[in-house]
Amino acid sequence: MNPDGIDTPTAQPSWNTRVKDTIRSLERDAELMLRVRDGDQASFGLLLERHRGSVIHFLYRMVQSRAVAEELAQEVFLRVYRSRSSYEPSAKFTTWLFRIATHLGLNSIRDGRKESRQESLDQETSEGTVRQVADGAPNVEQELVYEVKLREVRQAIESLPAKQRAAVLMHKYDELEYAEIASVLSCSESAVKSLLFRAYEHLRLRLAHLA
Amino acid sequence: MRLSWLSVALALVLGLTASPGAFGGPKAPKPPKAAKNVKTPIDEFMRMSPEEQQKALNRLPPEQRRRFQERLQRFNQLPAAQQQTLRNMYDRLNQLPPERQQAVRRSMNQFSREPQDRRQAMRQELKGLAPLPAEDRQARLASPEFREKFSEKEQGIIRDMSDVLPPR
Amino acid sequence: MGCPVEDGTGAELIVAYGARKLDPEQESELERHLTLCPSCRELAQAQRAVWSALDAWPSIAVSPNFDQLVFHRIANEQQRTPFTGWLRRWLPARWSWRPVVPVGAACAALIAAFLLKSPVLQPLTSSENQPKLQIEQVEHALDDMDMLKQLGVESASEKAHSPEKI
Repeated sequence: MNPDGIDTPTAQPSWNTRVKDTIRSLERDAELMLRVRDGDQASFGLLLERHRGSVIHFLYRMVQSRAVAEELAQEVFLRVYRSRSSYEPSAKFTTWLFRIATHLGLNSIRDGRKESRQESLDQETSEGTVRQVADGAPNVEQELVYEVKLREVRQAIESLPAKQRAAVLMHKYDELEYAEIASVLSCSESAVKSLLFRAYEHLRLRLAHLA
Repeated sequence: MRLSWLSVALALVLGLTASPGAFGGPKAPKPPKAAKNVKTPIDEFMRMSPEEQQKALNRLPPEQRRRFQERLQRFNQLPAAQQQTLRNMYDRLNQLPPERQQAVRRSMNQFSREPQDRRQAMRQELKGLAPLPAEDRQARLASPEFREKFSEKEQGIIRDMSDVLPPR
Repeated sequence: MGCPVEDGTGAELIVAYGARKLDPEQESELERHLTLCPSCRELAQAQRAVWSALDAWPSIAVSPNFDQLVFHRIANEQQRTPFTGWLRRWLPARWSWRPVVPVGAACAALIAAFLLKSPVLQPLTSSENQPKLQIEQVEHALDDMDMLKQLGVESASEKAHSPEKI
């Protein structure tokens, strides 16, 4: 056991730091939400700031439309706010958030609210990140290759059944553990593993050639 | 609960199909028939005012905006006849049921990954199919010569692509 | 290490390996196995390729007014609440809204349908009220055009439709 009282394997120091950061983050979310429960709207603004990105990105990859993703994300936070008086910090805030987001995303896909197949993805890079190119500006050929790759990834994800899609997105982009995903999807951990492994099998068939 | 929503649907259908003329009021003028020209989102974008176009473009980060403008320019610089044929094929693609659209797009991606000489062979085949009536296309796709000339994967790609060929 | 694919633990291990989530010891052990087992090696390489391909999908920038819109909706809801609160005080405690909603919706649908057919309201269906074009739709159309163009069919169609020279 190290001086901080946390029992860790003899791993790199960064793992220990990550654990502590995660714990601090969870406590912070719970603390903020309790303040929102007590009527502090500024704390709700801080929660928005901390989590809007991950919610919007998740929904964007689910429904593959920026406009719909943002609309659904607004609804997610609205529901969080509405439920503030009954909030109890028994479950992780992010699990609760993703449960609402997944529910809305799955409904949206089921209801066909993503309009037609034509209303598709925004290919923006996130603010502050730039796609690195080896020598100066990309030439036309490189750009076409990039566009084709991106299109294949989007279409591969879109071809997954909705629940598998949600599971993969949470696992890959939000780095949720199996137990968390199970909690979000209200199913067992083994059911989540089954969803994920079938999804990755499908994605390997569609995307392995892109190596 | 389901019965209640069924009543909503029924009310909506009855309301929409009932004509105001039936109650003695003036009949609403019929909208003009839609033009036969295919309109794509690209055409809609080009019809927007410069200010509206700029507003839409400003939603993209600079690099992506540049790529978008280059691609748009490449499309607009194509000869008019070529653009129209592409529009027709685009229209046919988007008329397909969603699962078929997915399959066709997947085949198009596979096509782009094939070696140059096989792509050329498949292109030639599609060019040969394009002017044929539907029954002759089907006959060709079922023929032994077609099967001998192309692998199973290539046959699948060509069959999927033939769904978006302009109708004869 | 036995073969993960054969002993049924393969999927989880390979996925974790693809995501680079194995601890160093587990990773070394698996990589030793991969040098000896072609099927596991192929699977692991494919999974890493998938992971890397998914990395290529960038996330979008959030609209600068997103927070504003959320607070705006909250404020709107709070303004509506006093009326519904009043309504609830007057209704029986165990009143259920469930049957009222679809019946009310049916009446509203009937009224809306007749109004839509009314010539007075025709301008409401004009193109000014069509859903706004999203830039993503245009990008996607360009994707499709690029794919269709590579088929090279349009030049054949041009020849097919051009007038014959006498």
